[in-house]
Amino acid sequence: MRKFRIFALLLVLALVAAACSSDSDETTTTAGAEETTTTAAAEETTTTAAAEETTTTAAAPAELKTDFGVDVEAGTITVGQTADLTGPFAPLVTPILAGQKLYWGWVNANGGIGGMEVLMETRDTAYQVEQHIAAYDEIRDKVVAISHTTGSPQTLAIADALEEDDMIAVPATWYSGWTDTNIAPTVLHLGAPYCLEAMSLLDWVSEEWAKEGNEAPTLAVASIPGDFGLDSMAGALKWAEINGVEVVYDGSATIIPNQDQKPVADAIVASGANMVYVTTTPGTFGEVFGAALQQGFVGAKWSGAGPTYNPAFIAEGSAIADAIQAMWYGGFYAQPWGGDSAGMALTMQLVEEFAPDMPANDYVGLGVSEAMLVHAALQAAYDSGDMTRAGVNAALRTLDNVDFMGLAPNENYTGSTSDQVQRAITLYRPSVANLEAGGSGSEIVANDFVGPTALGFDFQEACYQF
Amino acid sequence: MTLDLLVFAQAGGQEAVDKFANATSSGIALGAIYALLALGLVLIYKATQVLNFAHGALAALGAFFAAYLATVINFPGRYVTFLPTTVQWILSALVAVLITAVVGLVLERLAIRPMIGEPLFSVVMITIALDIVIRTITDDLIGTNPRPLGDPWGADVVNIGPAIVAKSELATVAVTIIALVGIALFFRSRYGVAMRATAFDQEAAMAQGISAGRIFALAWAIGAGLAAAAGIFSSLFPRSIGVSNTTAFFAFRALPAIVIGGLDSISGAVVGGFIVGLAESYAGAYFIGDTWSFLGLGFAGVMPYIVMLIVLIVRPYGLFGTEEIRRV
Repeated sequence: MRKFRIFALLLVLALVAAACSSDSDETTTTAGAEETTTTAAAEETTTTAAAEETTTTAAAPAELKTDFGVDVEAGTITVGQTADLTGPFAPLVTPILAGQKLYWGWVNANGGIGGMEVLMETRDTAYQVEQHIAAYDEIRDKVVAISHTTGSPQTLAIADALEEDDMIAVPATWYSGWTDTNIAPTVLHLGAPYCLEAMSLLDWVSEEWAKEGNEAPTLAVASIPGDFGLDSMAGALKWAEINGVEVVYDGSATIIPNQDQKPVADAIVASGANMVYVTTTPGTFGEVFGAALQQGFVGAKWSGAGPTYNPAFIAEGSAIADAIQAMWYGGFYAQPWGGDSAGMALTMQLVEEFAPDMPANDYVGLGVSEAMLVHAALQAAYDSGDMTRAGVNAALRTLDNVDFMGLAPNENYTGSTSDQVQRAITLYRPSVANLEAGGSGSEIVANDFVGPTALGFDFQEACYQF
Repeated sequence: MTLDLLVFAQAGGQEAVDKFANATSSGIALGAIYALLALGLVLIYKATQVLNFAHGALAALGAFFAAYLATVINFPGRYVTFLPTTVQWILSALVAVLITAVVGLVLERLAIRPMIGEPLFSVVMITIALDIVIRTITDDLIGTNPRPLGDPWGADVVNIGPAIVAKSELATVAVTIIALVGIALFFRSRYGVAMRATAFDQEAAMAQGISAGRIFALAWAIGAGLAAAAGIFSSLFPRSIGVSNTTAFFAFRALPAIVIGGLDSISGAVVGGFIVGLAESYAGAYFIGDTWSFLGLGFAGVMPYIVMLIVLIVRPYGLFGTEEIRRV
């Protein structure tokens, strides 16, 4: 019995150790003031997301209004993250938060915002809606903005609370509804939505198909249920309709994670499509692609929404590496690792200096972009003298050209839905050579690419409605 | 009716045959993995009366060991470079299975043995705790991206009649057969007889000088090894691109197999595994399209549970399970 007690104690310690061993970068911060206060600003230094260096302006406010997440006396600004650190998208979210951490560290080292240091308050949501709601409830009174929220259903679940709190939030999802302010007024778009991404990607892929001297292509599509899959499918099917391309298999919402994916692959193979557009998690994509490859389906060009792809597809020892390299045509919302821009140069410099062991990953730059957007909003709010959450939201809505130093296409948060929507994506091809040379395995083909179908599409509301 | 069948065979027949053959081969390959998982679960259950909820975590851990040994440190391949690469990889996989078996042994000694005599519910809760601990550690070891296992079969396939079968799937079926034969032989050995005796009547076995603790440890070691083998094969082409943080959950798909076969039956576990694999595969192949849309999405995943319910209605102790008679 004594041995058992010792074991029970060890087990409890192991559980605690295991819980603490996750990669979450939680920081403890003091809760913001419960009520709106007016305080003298600490310093007169401002930083814009687009600026490469800290600049001092004469427009710094003499008094600063604050409510939550800004503690002028302590000299801190706290931004929150409700992030999937242990669920299915953890492979993407972990480097995103690593990018944010690097960027905020750089901002702080360069005078912060008005002399105040930016802190991160992170909670793991494991991609569970209930856990996401609980995580937001836990930090809502401690932060001035949410610089990362993983997952559309999860973000939608807190959208009313975000609106009630006047809290801006940057989602790590590219649901087209984020550009439609009727759906979630304080959730911000960053990057092209899934449906316009599909249009641009298919424009490119069909162009490549035609370059090879082929006749009109046929299209097969398949996805997981939910906005991620269906918003993307809406774009792909719209693209086919606009361009008169025959859809030989519509497998929208037929991919169910944690089930055998062979039936979906069989249907794609049986369709004989020349172009295949699949939007799902990387793990299930591997199963669909593998099962199709098993049947000798090698003539088609494959593509899909950004998060569908994972560099592990071409990693050493991957059974599908050669086929993926030959058949995958990828798009991304920000510039992949190693891209040619001032923003990526800054990212690389920060990685080299503060995280030299960090493996190359396309999502690090995305994390930097998210932080840049919140930085721009906070800076604008600081300049206006109102760093309450409502003030930050109002300031954000005055920004018509947020510059990400080339890391992501510039964004506009003013005007109509059609004015605001992002249409540009980065095109890449998987490259084993790039991976072996220390890159992320993504060889950039074009930056800020907008396909003719995406360019001409009249975007007035979300492509997929919940 | 005969005329209808003839017309069917001549018209769309070949396509139907191909579809059936591919669904069958896929179901058998999937069933082989379920059978490996079910074998381990039943072995531990037979010896200790405990359903091991850490089985999936052990499977993922074993697959991680295989990926690490084969692709990172090339062990033991670096010391036997004169052997073909296929043999080197098999050796890495075997070492991974052995290491996981040792982990199972240690877990039994530390976590399960002190619970002898305690309520079974408490022991099951301990296995859930072990699942969380092992899975968290394994996730950290795996890292953010899936880890390919670098197996020698890659994306190679062979044609068996109308079915296109991946070589890795053939290897899965072969390993399952070897495992089944190995366990059958084990049960004829001294320790195997001791295990059967312990499972039948623990107190009587102990009175005959059998160390129940040693038998429990052995069951956990073999069960963990089988879990590792299942984890390895579930992480190969075409089913996966490598071991990832979702590998551990694959084991839960095998649970209907042990209920269908009978919780305490080794042969039942294997038969149950193949029934579940085939049921899932056929449901996925045939219950799709507009005609079956009323069944909803993901019906293939539900099918094994429907089969399980039907089996339980007809045979409450599973196809091969021992009927329990209690005096009241």
